[in-house]
Amino acid sequence: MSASLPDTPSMPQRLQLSLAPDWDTIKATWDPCQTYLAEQGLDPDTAYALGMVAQELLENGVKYGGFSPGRDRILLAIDALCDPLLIEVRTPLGEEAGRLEELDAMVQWIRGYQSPFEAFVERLKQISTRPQVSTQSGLGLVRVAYEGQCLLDFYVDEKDVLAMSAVHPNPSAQSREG
Amino acid sequence: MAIREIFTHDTLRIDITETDKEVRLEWRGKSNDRQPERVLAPLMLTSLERCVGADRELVLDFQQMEYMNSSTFTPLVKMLDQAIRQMQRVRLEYSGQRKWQTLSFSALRAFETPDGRVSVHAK
Repeated sequence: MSASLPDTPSMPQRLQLSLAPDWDTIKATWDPCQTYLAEQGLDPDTAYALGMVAQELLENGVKYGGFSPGRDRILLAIDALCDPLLIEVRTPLGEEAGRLEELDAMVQWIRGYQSPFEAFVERLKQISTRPQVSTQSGLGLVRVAYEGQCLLDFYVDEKDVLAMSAVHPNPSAQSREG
Repeated sequence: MAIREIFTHDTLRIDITETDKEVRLEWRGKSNDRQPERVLAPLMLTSLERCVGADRELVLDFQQMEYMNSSTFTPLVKMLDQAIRQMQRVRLEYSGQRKWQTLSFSALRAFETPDGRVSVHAK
């Protein structure tokens, strides 16, 4: 894991991590994310929720990614000084057919609910009746919307890199304005 | 006499206590395995089976839990579904002082049964 922060204190700071696409590396990002979010003045509950958002997006980055030599990193960026606050995960897109459609369908499904809470409950109910061994639940993205109170989006750039983002109203910026 | 066991997996620890009245699973630490269902589903189904025929309640206490990834909910809600179908008693307890637990576990109230056999409680 390598990290970078701009070195000028007066400049808006953004956490950027370049990560190997393995589960232990993803899990190890929890503490740096919490430290960064706390340093930006976010309250512990919001920092925790956004740390969860980063974890869930990174887990999806590993699951949806296709890794090969030269395309073997996942990038996490958190900008807690912009409003809305932005969390973005970029991962090389895999060649497995249907994954992007699956992701798109899930994001659209979430947007179809007026309340993320209702979407979360509905997803839990759906999962509860699935066979014991099943494929990806999609619950992580619903949780990003519900517990993280984030709007989800994604796009694929010209280099076939999938960028998944979650945006959240920035309480620090709003208190500054107030 | 209570029977005590400890289940550990990576950063997750579950203290299991079996008495005449209940089988209690106290969850601690973090559950963030890539496929937690592989290890948690057998544990939860076994725990449910330990209550069958003994009129015991299965209690899952999450108050000391620090983090759960979304995949951890899968074996949990599958067990709740099975408990509902098999008319068993399950009680979930979470910390009302932790916002993330309040958000996560209040959603699980959707699995509560009208007769209180399956219930979710903030502590």
